Order: sequence, then structure tokens, then C-alpha cells
Amino acid sequence: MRFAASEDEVMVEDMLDRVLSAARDSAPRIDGQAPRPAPEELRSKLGDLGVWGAWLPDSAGGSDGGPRLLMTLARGLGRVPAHHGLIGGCVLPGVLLARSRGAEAAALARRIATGAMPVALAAMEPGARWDMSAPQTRAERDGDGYRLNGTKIHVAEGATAETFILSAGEGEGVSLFLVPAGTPGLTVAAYPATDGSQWASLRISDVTLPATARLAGPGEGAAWLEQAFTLAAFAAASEILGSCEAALRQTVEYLGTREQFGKALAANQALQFRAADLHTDIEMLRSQVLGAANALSQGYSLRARSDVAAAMAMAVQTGDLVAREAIHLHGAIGMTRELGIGYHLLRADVLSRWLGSAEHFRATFLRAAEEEEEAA
Amino acid sequence: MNMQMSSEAAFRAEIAEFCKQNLDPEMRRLSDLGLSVGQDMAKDWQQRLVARGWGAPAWDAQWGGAGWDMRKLFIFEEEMAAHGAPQVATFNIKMIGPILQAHGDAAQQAHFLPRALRMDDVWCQGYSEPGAGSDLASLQTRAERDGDDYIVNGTKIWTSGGHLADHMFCLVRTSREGRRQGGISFLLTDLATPGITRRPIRHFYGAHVFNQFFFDNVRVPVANRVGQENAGWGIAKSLLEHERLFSARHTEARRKLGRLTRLSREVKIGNRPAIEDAQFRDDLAKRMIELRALENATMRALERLVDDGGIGPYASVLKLRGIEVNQRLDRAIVQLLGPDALPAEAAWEGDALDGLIPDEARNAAESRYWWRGPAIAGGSQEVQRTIITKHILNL
Ligand SMILES: Cc1cc2nc3c(=O)[nH]c(=O)nc-3n(C[C@H](O)[C@H](O)[C@H](O)COP(=O)(O)OP(=O)(O)OC[C@H]3O[C@@H](n4cnc5c(N)ncnc54)[C@H](O)[C@@H]3O)c2cc1C
Repeated sequence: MRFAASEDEVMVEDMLDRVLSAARDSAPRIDGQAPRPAPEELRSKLGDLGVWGAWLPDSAGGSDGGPRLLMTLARGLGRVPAHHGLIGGCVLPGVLLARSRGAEAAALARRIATGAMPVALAAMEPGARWDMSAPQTRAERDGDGYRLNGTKIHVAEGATAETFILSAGEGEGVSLFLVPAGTPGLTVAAYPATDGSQWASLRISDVTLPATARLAGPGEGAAWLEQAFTLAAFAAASEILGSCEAALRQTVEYLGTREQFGKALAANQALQFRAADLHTDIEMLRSQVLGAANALSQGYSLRARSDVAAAMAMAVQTGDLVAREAIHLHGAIGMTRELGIGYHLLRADVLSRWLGSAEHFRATFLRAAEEEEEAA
Repeated sequence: MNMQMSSEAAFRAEIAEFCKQNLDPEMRRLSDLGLSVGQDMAKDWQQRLVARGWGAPAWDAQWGGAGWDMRKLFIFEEEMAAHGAPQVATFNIKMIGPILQAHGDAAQQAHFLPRALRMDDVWCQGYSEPGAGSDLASLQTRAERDGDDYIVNGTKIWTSGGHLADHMFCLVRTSREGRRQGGISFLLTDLATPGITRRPIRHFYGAHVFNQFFFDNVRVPVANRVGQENAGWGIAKSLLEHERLFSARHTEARRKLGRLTRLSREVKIGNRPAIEDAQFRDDLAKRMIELRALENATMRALERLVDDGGIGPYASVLKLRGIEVNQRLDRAIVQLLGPDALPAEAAWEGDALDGLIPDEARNAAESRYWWRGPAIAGGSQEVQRTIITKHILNL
């Protein structure tokens, strides 16, 4: 596998940059805030270009672009401040629906590929941090179907989803169910996260479902979830890479133009070296994200899992550092909503609160690396 | 792709087999611990490599090179390091050899190259001076023409391995006009020439690493000048591109990681092996992740080298981070060892510690001290940051 971008990737990247910066520049400046493209507009524009689900397999309405394409897409989105919904509305449900053989799942996957976000995954629970292997939400047999009870939290794109994929303990395992938003007994409550995106909590009280609603049985659900969240972490690391690139670029430009003490800020070596260190950190992150993309492209292996965890552990740290430095090196203007450089910190934070801290991913990495060594 | 993969695997296997046949266990043990193998073993190893045609694989075939492409050269270095082969005669093989092939005249090549390959001559590098460090172009050691000779006066310092060498390639000032860089020439010096004296300089941990040389009216034949007079700066700056791939020193870091993980099963924290301790595991994961990224970064550089013929200022990124990764691994090793990192390397010469502490504790502390050096030498970390600032960020 190569590291350098293929011609196709370069094309997609240029296209994304063009479309996304046009969307950003034409977005209205509300209350003097940095312009931010409206999510719906962004989704339909990218839908027209056919990139949303292009990383999905053919059978799920994608064009088999694979992890390298997902990386290009996520990285491109990371460069603009926008609530794009890629991870919550496209990657997580996309992976699960693509694994399913049901007709309803296939139809939903095809809609996801167009940029619609009809499905949200509800797998996290109060107090469980990032452990999704033992949900308190339970599924009991009920006639021919199932009865579900429990609570879900931090459901990305949950505020607008038409259908949820719900994880629930069934026997000793974890099963996954497709649950329409209007199902009696299901209460959806929306709330904003610190980056302005919309999330939801779900209260599930005696929700009854037909047998066909089960997407994955107790022998499969946990593994499916793990794969979905691995791909989500990979997309998040790619997005943070894009975010870091944009934050550093904007900061370096600013250092070159802002003058104090009669010279450009950039003339100060202390500031040059901070920029050089950030560049080095970003190059390392890029190398690892590419390594993870290449490993994933060869299949969902232990190596791919450890590479993704390594990439995300680095992304959480680098994203945080680059975003903090970008704010600081701008001085007071860096503090403003108007300049908007702070968005990179908001976003990097939300991604790691949601998917896992650096420590969490380091632990995941080491376990996968050890399993890999034992297997060898 | 499969063709390529299988021939690569075959090549790696060939190197592994060579090491198995030729690498004596003591040599491997020493180099695994980051210890130098000593001059006799080094020469013996180099003879074996030469006999196999691998003594200086990157050289022109006519002088003993292997005729490999960049990728093969890279694999060779990686695989040799992975098997614990010592790095010997690096100034001979990686510096003066390539420089003479690119810039030397026919007589210099015919005389010096075969001798450098076999280690009949051992070279050291005389660039730095007390007043000329990072700002190397300010060097003052002067060479004045006198018939067929130059008369050299001045001093060179920080000469690594100068006490083991018999020849020095050095930079001297032959003009004080124009740009400082434009008045420097590249000279080959026999250290037995009258007028040269040497003072050993000890490393802070005690080892004899450096030297200072004094030149007092030393006669060096003009025939020993490489390239044109005043063209020495460009010659000294030229380094084989594939060597720049190793700026990250990832092969050394990989060996350190091996040492750290082996120790983590042996050393206990509380009552359990360190590898079961949550805090240790988090630190270990940090070290492993940054090394994995560094290796990916190096593979990217290799790809770029094959595609474009060079890696430009990206080498500075590799060096900056690679040194840090190595230093943090050394630190992790001594932290894990705790009290067992207390004995000096020399403590292993007697039997006082036999069976009492892990053998891998040997040289752990010294390695950490030694590795402060690469951050200063060969363009300090600050010099690398300056290159990134100027040539990548365009600030
Ligand atoms: C292990 C080791 C082996 C060596 N082997 C050899 C050898 O074999 N032959 C040889 O000729 N030389 C050798 N050297 C010398 C080496 O090339 C010099 O140490 C190096 O060029 C730095 O010069 P200096 O030590 O005089 O430090 P200085 O240049 O005085 O630097 C001191 C400190 O200031 C920083 N600094 C300097 N300039 C700037 C700047 N513009 N901006 C910001 N910071 C700056 C440096 O990074 C460093 O931290 C070796 C050095 C070491 C440590």
C-alpha cells in the first residue's frame, strides 16, 4: 500500500476543498460569528457529489472507496467548521447496516449514501463511559418479538433520526435492533453539545418490536459495535488531522501578518519553534492515520485495530495541543467566536469525549498489539 | 505486488541467514545493549560483510557497492539492525566513501576507497571547532598554500572516535573573502603527520567519546584536497539521500522498545510484572504508538525518495521527532529499572551483580546519557526546527 494520495484521492480532496470552502464563505455571518455552513446544505451538496457513502461497499449503495476515501472525506470536513454528521449519521450506522443482510437495512444504507441521515446509533449508556459491551438496556422475548427497557445517552444525530439502532443485552450477549423514532415507549430528548451539535438521550420503556427488527443477534452485536466504533475512531482521527492542518495553516498565516514591536510575530524564534513542533506533531499524526487507512484497507484485522487506536490516541493529543496553541498564538482575537479558531478545540474535545480519551485508546492499542503478537 | 513482496521476503531471509552464520553472539549482545563492539570485532565484521559484497552496499559497484535500489538499501539497514548487527566504520562507509566517489579525483579514489572499505584506514570527522558549532561556517582553522602543500593551523573539537582513527577529513579555511561558506576547503589528513596532537575529552558519564585535535604547522599535500579550493562547504553538505531516511533512527528505537518490553515481563511493580501495571501500560502504549507513527513516517519518506529522488526538509521532521522518541524510550527503560539502573556499565566486568539484576540493565543509564548527544550533533534540534520554519512553513 502506498502512502501518497492516489489521483482519485487528490481529485476528491480538491473537490471537497472547493465545495466546503465555498459553503463556508457563502454562509451568513450571524451575530458577527465566523460563518458556518448549515448542516442540511452541506449534506445535500456533498450528497450531490456522491462522496457521503462512497467509502461503503457497492452492496450498501457505496462505490467501494474504502478507508482511504473515508479518510479523505473526514479530513476534508475537518478543515471547515461545520456540523457535518459524518461519524454519527453516516459511519456508525453505515458500518452496521452494511453488515446486515436485511432489505430494510439495505434501503437505509442507500439513503445514507445520498447524504440523508435517517439512522442514529444508540449504544452509549449513563455511567458506562466507553464500555459498550455490557448494556443495562435489556431485550426480552415477547411473543414473536421483543420487549426493550433501558436508557441511552450521547446519541449523535439522535435529535433528527427517523430510526435508531439500539443495543441491548439479550441473554449473555449484545443484540442490535432497528427502532423507528415514533415507536410507543421510546422518548427522544435532544440537547446540544459544547461544539453546538445536537445530541439526544433515549428513554426506552416497554418498547415492543417485531422479530424482524433485530439487526444482529447476541452472538454478533458486540463485534459489530466494535467494528463500527473502530471505523468511527478512524474517521475521527482523520477529521482531527484535517482540523489540525487548518488550524496550523491559519495560525502560520497570522504570525506572518500580525506585527508587534515593529516586526512580524513570525520573526520571533520562540514562536517559529512552536510552529515547527506543531508541524512535526501533525506529520506524525498524518503518518499514523495513513498507516491505519492502509491497514484497514487490507481487512479488519488486529493490526488494523491497533493502528486505528494508535492513530486516535495521537489525534486526541495532537488535536488538543494544536487547537490550544492556535488559540494562544492569535492572542485575544483567538478567544473570539468571531475568528472561530477556537472551534478546533471544541470539536477535538467533543470527538474525544464521545469516542474515547487518549488513555482509553492507548489501552485499546496495547491490548490489540498484544493479541497480535500472541497470534504471530 | 506479490512478486515484489515475495522477493522482499527472500531478501530479508537472506540477510537473516547471513547474520545467523556470521554474527557472533557476543557481538550481538553488545550491540543489543547499545554498547560499542570494539575495534577488533568491528574489523572482523566488516571483513565478513566485504566478503559477501555487502561492505558498502550504497557505493558505486566499481568500488564494492551492491547495485541495489533505494528500497533494497533501506531494507538492508533495517534488517541488519533488527538482527543486532553492529554499525561499524560509519565515517568510512557513510561519509568519506560517498564523498570521494562524488568529488574525489581518480588517484584519491583508487588509494582511499579500497582502504576505507576494508577498514585499513579508520576515518574521523573534523568539522567543529571551539568557536564554530551550529554556525559551522565560522570555522577558523586555516590552510595556507606553500608549494605542493597546505600548512594547517588551528584546532578541531568534539571529534567522535578520533582516538580510534588514523585519518581525518576536515574543513579548513582557505579564504577570508566573500561569503564565509565560499572560503572553505575539504582536506584529507593523515593523523600521524607531524604537528598534530590530540587531547581526549570524556563524556559526562565517563566514557572516552570525543577528542580535540591541535594542528601546529601541519603539512598536508595539496593532492589531499577533495574538489576545488574553496568548494569544501558544498562537499561537506552532500550526504547520501538514503542515509537521510535514517534521520529518525527508528531502528535503534525499535531495539530499545524490545528491551523495554522484555524488561516489563521481568521487572516487578508491587507484586506483579510491570506489564500488568496500569500506569506502566499507559506509558508503554505511548512509546509504542509514537514509534509506530515514526516508522510510518519513515516509510512515507522512503516512498517519497523512490518517487522523487529526495526527501528535502522532511528529513528534519524525522530527525526532530526520532531523537525525542529514542530519548523517551531510554528514559522509560531506566525508570522501569528503578534501583537497578544504578550500577555503572563497568559493574558488569566483575561478578558482583551476577544473577541479582536483569542483564538488560547493563548500559541502560549510559545509553540515556549518550543519547543526549544526537540532539546536539549533526544539526541540533533547534537547527532542525529552523529548517522546518524556513523551508516548510515558509515563515
Ligand atoms: C555526540 C556528539 C558527537 C559529535 N561528533 C562530532 C564529530 O565527530 N566531528 C565534528 O566535527 N563534530 C562533532 N560534534 C559536534 C557537533 O557538530 C556540534 O556539537 C554541533 O554542531 C553544535 O555545536 P555546539 O556544540 O558548539 O553548540 P552551539 O552551536 O554553541 O549551540 C548551543 C545550544 O544553542 C542552540 N543554538 C545554537 N544556535 C541557535 C540558533 N540560531 N537558534 C536557536 N538555538 C540555537 C543549540 O541548538 C544548542 O542547544 C559532535 C557533537 C556531539 C554532541
